Amino acid sequence: MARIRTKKVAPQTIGNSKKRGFFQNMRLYKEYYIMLIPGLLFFLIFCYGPMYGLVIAFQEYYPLKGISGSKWVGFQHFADLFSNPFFLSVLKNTIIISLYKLLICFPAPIILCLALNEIKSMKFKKVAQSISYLPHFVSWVVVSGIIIEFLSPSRGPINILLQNLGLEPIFFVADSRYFRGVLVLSDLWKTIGWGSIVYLAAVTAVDPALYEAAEMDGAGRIQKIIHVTLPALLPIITVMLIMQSGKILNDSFEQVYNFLTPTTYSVGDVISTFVYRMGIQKMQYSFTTAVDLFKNIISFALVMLTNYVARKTNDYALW
Amino acid sequence: MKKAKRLAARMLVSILTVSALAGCKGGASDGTPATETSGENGEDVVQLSFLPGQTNAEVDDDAEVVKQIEERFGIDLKGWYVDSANFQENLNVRFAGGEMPDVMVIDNLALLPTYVEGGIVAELPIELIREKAPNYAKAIDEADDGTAWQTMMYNGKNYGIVNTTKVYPMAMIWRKDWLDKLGLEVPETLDEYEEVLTAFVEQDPDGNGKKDTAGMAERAFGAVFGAFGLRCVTGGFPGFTVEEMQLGEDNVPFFPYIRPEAKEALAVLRDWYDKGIIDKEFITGENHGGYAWLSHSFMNDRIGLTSAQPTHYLFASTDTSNEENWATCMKELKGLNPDADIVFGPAPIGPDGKSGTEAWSQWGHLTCITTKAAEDPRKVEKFLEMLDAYYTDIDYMKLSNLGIEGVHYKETENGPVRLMDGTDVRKEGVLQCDMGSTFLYAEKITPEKDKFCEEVTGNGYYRFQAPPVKEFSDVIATLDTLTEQAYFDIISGAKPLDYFDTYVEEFKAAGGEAAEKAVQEAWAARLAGEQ
Repeated sequence: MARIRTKKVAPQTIGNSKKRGFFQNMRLYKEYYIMLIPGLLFFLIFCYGPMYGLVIAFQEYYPLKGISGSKWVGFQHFADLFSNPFFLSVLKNTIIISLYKLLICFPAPIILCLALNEIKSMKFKKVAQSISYLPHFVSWVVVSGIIIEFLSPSRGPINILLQNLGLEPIFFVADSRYFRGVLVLSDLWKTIGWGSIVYLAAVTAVDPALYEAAEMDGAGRIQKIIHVTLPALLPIITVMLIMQSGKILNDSFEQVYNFLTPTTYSVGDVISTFVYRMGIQKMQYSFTTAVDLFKNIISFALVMLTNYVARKTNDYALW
Repeated sequence: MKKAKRLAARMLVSILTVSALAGCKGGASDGTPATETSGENGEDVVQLSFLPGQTNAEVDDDAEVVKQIEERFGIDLKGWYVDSANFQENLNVRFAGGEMPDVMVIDNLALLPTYVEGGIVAELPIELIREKAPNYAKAIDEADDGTAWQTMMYNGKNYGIVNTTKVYPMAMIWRKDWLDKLGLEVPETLDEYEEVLTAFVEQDPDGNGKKDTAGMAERAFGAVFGAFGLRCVTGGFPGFTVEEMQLGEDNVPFFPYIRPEAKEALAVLRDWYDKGIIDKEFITGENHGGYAWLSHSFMNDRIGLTSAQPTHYLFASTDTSNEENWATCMKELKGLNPDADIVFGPAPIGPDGKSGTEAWSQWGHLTCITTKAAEDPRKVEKFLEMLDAYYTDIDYMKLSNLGIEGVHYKETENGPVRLMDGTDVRKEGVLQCDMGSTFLYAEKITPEKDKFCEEVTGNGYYRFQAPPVKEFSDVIATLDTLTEQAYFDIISGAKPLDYFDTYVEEFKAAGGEAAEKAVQEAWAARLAGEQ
């Protein structure tokens, strides 16, 4: 939210500064620039400084030898990555699973938020909200254990139901046809409540007068949601979407790792689990850095792209 | 020979100098003084820190056991603790920061080249070991199967010591109450196995009126491969440990997974899966969390056969009526189902008369000294002195491994029994600089357990510590994934049996053939170097 507010202030300063030169402007507002220094330093030291370490992606890096003492290998690690027989399927799985999640898990908290917002009884609303975000605090190790038991072909309630209906039990977790579904739905269950909090906060900021005005105009509930609540949420939805798009290659390691079995490698093995298996054999700092660099370049491109689309379609882009 | 000795000595000296220089900057960030502290009588006392592998407790430096060991050797013993959650990551971070212990146990030999190249592990010349720890060297020579002094070699130099470790093959463990109920005997051949396991599926051994039992799951797979002469290991986590190669009788290492015999074993497993003998849920594993050796499927009446170390179930004899004899798995089984009982049986004998189960390497507790310790020759000497004592002095063995009688353990008719759980015992300094269950230890301290374990297990396929080569470590993760995928798909019927041939081609093409060849060459070179 803070970012959006600064943006609204920004046009005035930019407008003024256009008339004066940059340094003139700087002298005029020197107090502001001085106040900016600590923040800038923070980013320089803690965010940009460590980026120097990325050079190890191009080295055969050993910690005790340091960056200056390690051998340069150029794009060797990238070549290793791209030539790995599993790389393409792993990249494909990562993108498909992330897109599924974006498609299903991104709108879900918004819908939950709209639904919670329509609840009249405050008590019920609070309880429903609390229950919905509790799973966020349970770790994936535990959640996966619960879900594997829940979906077990012999003990799980869903399969007992299927059998009572005369159907064959399905081993959801180990069946490559259902595995991605298990990932997406378990992610939905775990994240929906927590994700809706940010939207609920935005909804409380809507001016009640707008609803009253809409009622005066004869708007029903659905119409109020479409014409008042949703437009009010649009800025935050845009920002969240831009941030989510950056995470398409940053899969959820903990989740996938805990569900993955050899029968589902073909559909469920993602970049992070792949790197984990490759990297666990030895201390492959360089290789894993190379993979991360590759991932982040793609993520950066995706964020830029989404932001560009957002800027073209509405006014709430990040920059 | 003399020349080699001089060369080794010169190398040691140069390593010492280099690492001394490197240590100057490393020592400062360590937090503890890098070399020594002053003793009571004003003399310098050598400080030694041990990293005994992955543990879950930090040693108290003032513990009684620590003090007694310090007095015995005139050293200042320090713990060097790394949290066991994300052990390897945490350890690497500390190495990256220049911190290291003096002595460390490495669990995974494949890491040795990285440690050596990374300047963490220092050379420990065999001549020096023979000179300073003669009793140890003698014990190793006596137990040597031709691989002992080769294990810690890398690029022609020795980087640590191995310990003679008394290991036992995996035992086949049956639900005795199921066998008794159906009037069956413990089977011996693969065909008899199939008969008994089929009865477990068809004849309702748990008597609940439902057809909800299977014969076995993934932990018994290894024995089926063993019946075809192969060492294919299903680890604690569902999957296969492809990184462990097998050493053939002709002393040539090979990948068992791509052998034609493996196809025969897969045919059996596939057929058993189809018949319901193998629990369909083997894919998510017998263990559902908690202590890794528990088999929840076995405890919860789903399967009637599992495989584990004998001592995971019973301590020192086959007597299941004596509660003192129950180990963790047996306690849990009895806790869930007081009428349950177990019996050990032989591994299945295959069509060509072969049988056996996986066993860990006889060379265990692979211990290295770091470049930090190598700076100070006295540290290396003290370490070797302690090592030698573990191979001669039974009192020290007990102190190091069991602690103090009456406090940490008690003597029973079944041998010594610990009085505290693993975490507490480690806090007290027990097991801190331990060298494990050596041959001498098994003979002198735990003869009852030794006899019991020998009795209930058969032929063992011992773990082969492959010489570390780059061709192998670069592709092994890929080979592992390929194998697990193919094996699980073939067993569960997702792919036809003949897919095995395609898999073998893929395995070889993905670097498996080159890796196998490189390991074989490295191994042959080592053996030749010894003669």
